Amino acid sequence: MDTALLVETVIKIVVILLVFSALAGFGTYFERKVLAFMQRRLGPMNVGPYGLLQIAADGIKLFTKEDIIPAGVVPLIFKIAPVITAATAFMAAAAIPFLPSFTIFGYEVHPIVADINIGILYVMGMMAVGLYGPLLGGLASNNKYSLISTARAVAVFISYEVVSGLAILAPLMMVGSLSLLDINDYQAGGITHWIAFSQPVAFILFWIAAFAETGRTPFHLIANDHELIDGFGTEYSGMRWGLFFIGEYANMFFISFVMAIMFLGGYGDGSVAGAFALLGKVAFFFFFFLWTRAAWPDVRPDQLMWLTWKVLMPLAVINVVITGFVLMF
Amino acid sequence: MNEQFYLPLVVITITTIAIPFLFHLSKYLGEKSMNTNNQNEVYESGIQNTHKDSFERFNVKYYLVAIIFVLFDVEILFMFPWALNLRELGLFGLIEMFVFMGLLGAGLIYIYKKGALKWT
Amino acid sequence: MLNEVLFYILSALILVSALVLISARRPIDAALSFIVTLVSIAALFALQGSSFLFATQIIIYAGAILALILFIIMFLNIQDKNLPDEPHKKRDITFSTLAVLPFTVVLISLINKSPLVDQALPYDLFGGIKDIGSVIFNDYLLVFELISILLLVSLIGAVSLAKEDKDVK
Repeated sequence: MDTALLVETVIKIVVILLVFSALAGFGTYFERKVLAFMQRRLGPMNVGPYGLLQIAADGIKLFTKEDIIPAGVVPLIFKIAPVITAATAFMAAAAIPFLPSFTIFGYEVHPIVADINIGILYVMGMMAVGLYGPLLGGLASNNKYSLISTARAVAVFISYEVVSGLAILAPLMMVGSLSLLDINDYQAGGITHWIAFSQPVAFILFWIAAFAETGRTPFHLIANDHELIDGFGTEYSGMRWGLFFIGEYANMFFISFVMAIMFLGGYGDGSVAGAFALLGKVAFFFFFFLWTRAAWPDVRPDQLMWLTWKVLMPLAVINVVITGFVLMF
Repeated sequence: MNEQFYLPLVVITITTIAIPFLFHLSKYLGEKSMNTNNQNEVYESGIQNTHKDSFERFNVKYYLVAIIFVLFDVEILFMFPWALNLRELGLFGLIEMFVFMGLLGAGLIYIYKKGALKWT
Repeated sequence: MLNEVLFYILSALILVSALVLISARRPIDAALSFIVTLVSIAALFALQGSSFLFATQIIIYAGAILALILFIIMFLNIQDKNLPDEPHKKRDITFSTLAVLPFTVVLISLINKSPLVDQALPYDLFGGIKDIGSVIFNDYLLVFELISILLLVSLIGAVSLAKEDKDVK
């Protein structure tokens, strides 16, 4: 066994886990601040300067909560469901290049855990398995709110998986590879080579689907606070609920990375400026998630189904057909 | 097969599953669970025990969406190898796929006509 | 070396979870172990370097079909009191395993005796989805088009089975 490879991999994974768990915490802080400013409030202010230590306070609270397993739940599955959400979110990260490769102490580092050549399919597959977190959690909870949320979650996730699958097909026809590294290199020529300009329909469809797959606001029916309490998470408390939360926010970051790399040129030619540009794009996508939450109401489940199957899906199919013709002639 | 490619996947799978499981140990950090009956009651906005258990029958539409999804998912997965080979296959490949998509488009129109996706 | 170790670990995981699947009392426990089975099979495909089969297994079986099965569990509204009493479950499983054992031995020896044909597609490092595509769309064209008809038929079947029956209402 290649020891150097093993050490390198373990370091990468530890860095990814630490960075994105921390980012998930900061994500909640940013979300509260951004929402507050948009609603002309101040947001968290009391704990630490500008409320920055709120994250630490929340973390301590989550870790030291009393362990409650409500009556009538299926205990084993109740405990495993949050693990599935968190684990699949971070496993999806394996195929994402977070930065261009750089050299440190004369050792070349590729900031991607495994350059699998089915990269984007692997990410989609892991997100598909991530569905079982909410699904099993809701089913095991013995609470009718959780159960309604579960049924909705599955309907939403699977419908939008069709849309996102069809949407990324058109860019893949142009690139001819599933690896996110190749997709990035295809757009290395600068801003005019971005796939977002040659495939605007695919870009917008995938963006919409990203909102559904992370369960963010216009499609937040899964845990619609005013009718379903906290949806599948109603019966969860403490660190188990925290795992759902980390999974959700990590997913938001990872899907932002995928969008930035697939459609907005990623890190470009791999220079330092390109690396910062990638982080900027990801920050923009993350901010857009929060912005939408402040600006938009939720849609109804039937509207959402109508939108997927009767508007977005035909659009995606037509987009694939047109791309095929354009590439041929 | 090259170790370089699946070793990282093995490591990330093990770590990402093991660490969340370790989080479950956080129950020893806080207060001991009192395990009283009131506390373990299922949450129903303050009213206690209106339902003995929560399992209810659901609208068959959910099932229909799931089954339609399975079929379209199979279709999309078949389109991935085609999309990667588009340039080599040329016009013939394009026509092949349009026949395939045409048949499934017909299926989609059939679903619309039957009102299987009407949710009202 | 690692390859073999992983192969045995995954096979053991598949067998154990499949055993739990058939012996679990609650349907939801069976569903969870079924997820483990399907994902382990996917990992086994990845180990063989068939990345397309890996993706298919994960996305279709673990992602879609199991969601369907869990939906059915939700719809059927099974409660503990509805579950059948199976007092001799362990004995039944043991005896049925013993009953099919001779057949399995014959099957394994048959497979071992048959000439080995190398059916592996040329792959680069982690399997080649592109090579599969060129094989499907050049050599197995008719089969591929027949699949679309099969999918269409099953779609129509599913819709007409699940749609509301106006006469009954």
